[in-house]
Amino acid sequence: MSDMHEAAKQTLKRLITGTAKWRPNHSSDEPLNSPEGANHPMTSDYSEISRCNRCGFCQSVCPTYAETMDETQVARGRIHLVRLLNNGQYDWRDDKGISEKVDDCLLCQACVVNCPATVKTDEIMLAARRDFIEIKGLSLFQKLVYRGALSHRERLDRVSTLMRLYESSGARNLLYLNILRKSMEKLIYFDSFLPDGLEIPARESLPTLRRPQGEPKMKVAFFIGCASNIFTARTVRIVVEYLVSRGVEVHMPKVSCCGEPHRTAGDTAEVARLSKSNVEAIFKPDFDFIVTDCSTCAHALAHYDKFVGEDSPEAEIVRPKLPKVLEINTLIRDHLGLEPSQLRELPETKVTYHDSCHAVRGLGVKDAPRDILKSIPGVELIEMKGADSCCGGAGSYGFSHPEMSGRIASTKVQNIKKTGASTLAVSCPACTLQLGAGLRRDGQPTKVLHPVELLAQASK
Amino acid sequence: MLPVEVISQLSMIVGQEHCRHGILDIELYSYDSSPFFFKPDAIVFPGTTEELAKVVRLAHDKNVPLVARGAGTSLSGGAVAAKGGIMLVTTRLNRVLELNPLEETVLVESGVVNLNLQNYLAEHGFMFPPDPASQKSATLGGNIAENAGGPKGVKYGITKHYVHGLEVVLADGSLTRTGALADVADQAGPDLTGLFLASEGAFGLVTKALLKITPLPQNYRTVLAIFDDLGKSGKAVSEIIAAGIIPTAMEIMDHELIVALEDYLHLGFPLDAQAMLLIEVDGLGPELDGQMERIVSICREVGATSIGAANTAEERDKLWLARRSGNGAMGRIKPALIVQDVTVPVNRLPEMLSLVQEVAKKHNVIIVQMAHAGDGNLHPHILYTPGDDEEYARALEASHDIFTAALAAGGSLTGEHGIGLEKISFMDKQFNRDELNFMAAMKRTLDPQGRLNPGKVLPQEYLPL
Repeated sequence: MSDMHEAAKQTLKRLITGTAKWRPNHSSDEPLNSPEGANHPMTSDYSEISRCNRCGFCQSVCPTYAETMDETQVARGRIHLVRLLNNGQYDWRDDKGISEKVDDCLLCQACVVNCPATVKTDEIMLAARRDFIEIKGLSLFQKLVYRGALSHRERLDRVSTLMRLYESSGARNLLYLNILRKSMEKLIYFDSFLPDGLEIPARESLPTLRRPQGEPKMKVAFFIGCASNIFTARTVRIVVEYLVSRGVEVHMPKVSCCGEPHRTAGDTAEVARLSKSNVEAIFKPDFDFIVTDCSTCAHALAHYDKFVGEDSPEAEIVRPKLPKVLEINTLIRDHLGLEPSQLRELPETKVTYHDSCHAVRGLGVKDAPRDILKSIPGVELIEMKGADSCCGGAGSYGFSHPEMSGRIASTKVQNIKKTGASTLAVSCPACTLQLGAGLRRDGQPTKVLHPVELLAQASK
Repeated sequence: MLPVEVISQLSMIVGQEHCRHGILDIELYSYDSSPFFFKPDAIVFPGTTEELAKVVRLAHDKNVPLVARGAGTSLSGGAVAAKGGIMLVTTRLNRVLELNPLEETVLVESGVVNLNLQNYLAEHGFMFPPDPASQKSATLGGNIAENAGGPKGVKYGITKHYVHGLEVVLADGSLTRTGALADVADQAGPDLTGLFLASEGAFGLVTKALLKITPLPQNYRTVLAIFDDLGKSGKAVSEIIAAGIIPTAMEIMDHELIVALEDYLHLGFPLDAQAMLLIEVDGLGPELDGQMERIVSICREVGATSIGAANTAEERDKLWLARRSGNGAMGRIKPALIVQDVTVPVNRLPEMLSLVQEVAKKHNVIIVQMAHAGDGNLHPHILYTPGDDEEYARALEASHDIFTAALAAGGSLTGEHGIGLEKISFMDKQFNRDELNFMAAMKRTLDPQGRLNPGKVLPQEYLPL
């Protein structure tokens, strides 16, 4: 039987053709432009494209298609555009707007897990983004936000200071003056992302080491990501205190951005530079676990062998330690344990949980945060419709694509409202920002908390 | 190319953001799930019946071809603009308007996705029986235009058995209602509803449909029988029918498909199996075990190597997910396919399955087979690599042989995918001259200029203009 299995697998392998080039048999037009070869400067492997036979099942799960019901906003369409570039019907340099369509993808992977051929649309989009950067260079947005701010710890802190000044000085109130309101609509949209009472960045306010009383149960490296650092510093502080209270020695080495924003933009060189700079602090020392409260950073760190470059010397250091990378809910449930006897009852709280893409599809984490919530006396977990569909935050998508992102957030907010929950639990700072903003724009008083914040509240 | 003034008038009707004519929009509306690619000149997304009617009226006045499209999952080329012109997309007409539990009907707009309707109805204890494999994405308008079936067809029938009445925009932009939407009793006058079923948008554009629904079955029994020979699985199906049992569904999947599906879902399908037969019965409950026992013993007699039952709802869902994923899963083998849906009398099914295997050998192509076997509806998928013209030519020859054999076996060109562009050259083998002349007369009456989905359903030589 097992021989048979192997033989059948080999048959399948032979059947699966690696043809990357594609052209329709019945096109009503001839290829549009460009002499052979001139438009093929790209280096990426696009063989993945050949598995999409345009069945259209991606329409049923793609968040941008759900908002628009438009073929230009769904996986099979995006793949087809890259296919047209790839087989020379369009030119990478004069792409007629294909790069924008490629940038419209959230990379949420909903299509990938629902695709009968498991076509990795996200990887096709990333490959195309890499090639576009190669050919066209970085966009202004990418230069400012990624290479400008996220790449540099100190600049990020300055951004934070400015935001806090903006909040405390009352400058934000100007936006809401009736007389200015109309002209300020876009700014008001962005203002909605700023949570009230922003704290000093976590990387500044927290020490590099917190020891528990007595002999530590374990030693962990806690990776403070950029978004957590600035926007949810309070969460970071509470999570760290909780770990310490449970006997964990928490190291918080100075780190740079994990590199994920740069990866999604296709900025390969910067991904390698940033990830390599983090290897020394996080992967070299001997920790029991490498943890973070941010699903995106956890997903990035869990794939750091690829980030640093699979053939690089850093990959040798990283590879054996990858199994130690955990997102915080999993660490707590599986390695610290959930003991109801150590928890006091919270006032009756209805909670609904939003799965971040990087956790649920990226890392396969679905139950751990829910198990934490269910273990808390007084908490009632109510599932929302489409809990695992992308919130539209998608890193900086909310800022690069405000209109689409806002629509996706509103859909999500409607689903949250229907549960009647007073608290939304989320394990990702980008989703927290996005859904917090969506709820605020909708006038909802719903609290947005990390599951561990609720756990910490209930801890005796 | 459409004149600029037509584009601007279209924009005025549906709003600028719902009228597209950019080069990339045109590219992405130039295909469906079939092998055919044709570029429309503009794409419009009307938000109401009134807007839709105005667009059709404009196309009439300016004599521009017009193609209606839902989700674009059609397999025979029904939703591509073979002659260019306006592509009218119904996805914004996606409201479920009225559920009537007493009459067991539901009124929907044509752009509602089949599965969305199923989910809505399930909350109220009902279902809409036609369940094409593409139901996650396909719209009801498309289901009606192609007369879609699905696995449940054996027991429940296909789309045409579930349409009580239609609201249709005719070629000149006028609005008409048929059946129970015009006359509650659905009694007076000729039955015109059927005229628009399977007409692929060539007779008119369906905007609303009054659909018959049925209560959700209370219980299911689902089994999976494994065979070491494809013909044997077909024999099991015809024996079951011959024994007077009407299961809800009987689905055959062949060896290549089993391997591709196992690669996708990891359900533990035996990779050496030559065929799987998925059988389901539904009903109140007490009668089901006896039925299933008889089905299982027939499978054993025919030579099933093993038979397993789905013990939980989750296991059942997974088996059905596998079956429904067949089409897309073939992307794992080759990037493009021609899928047929020839239908033969059930007693001819075993020989037809084997015959398709021989056709594959003869033309040296990969043909992956599945079948809504209970109603004799085969789905041979002929795979090819786009760009390999020689292979594509062999695929077309194989396709030709299968059509010919199905008709010779007393069968039909299509069980549910429609004629589209794919089977049009075979229409005169299915129907005689008088029958085709009658259809052409209908077409000329309803669409004298021949602008609605031109090039589909009816052979051009019957449509002198």
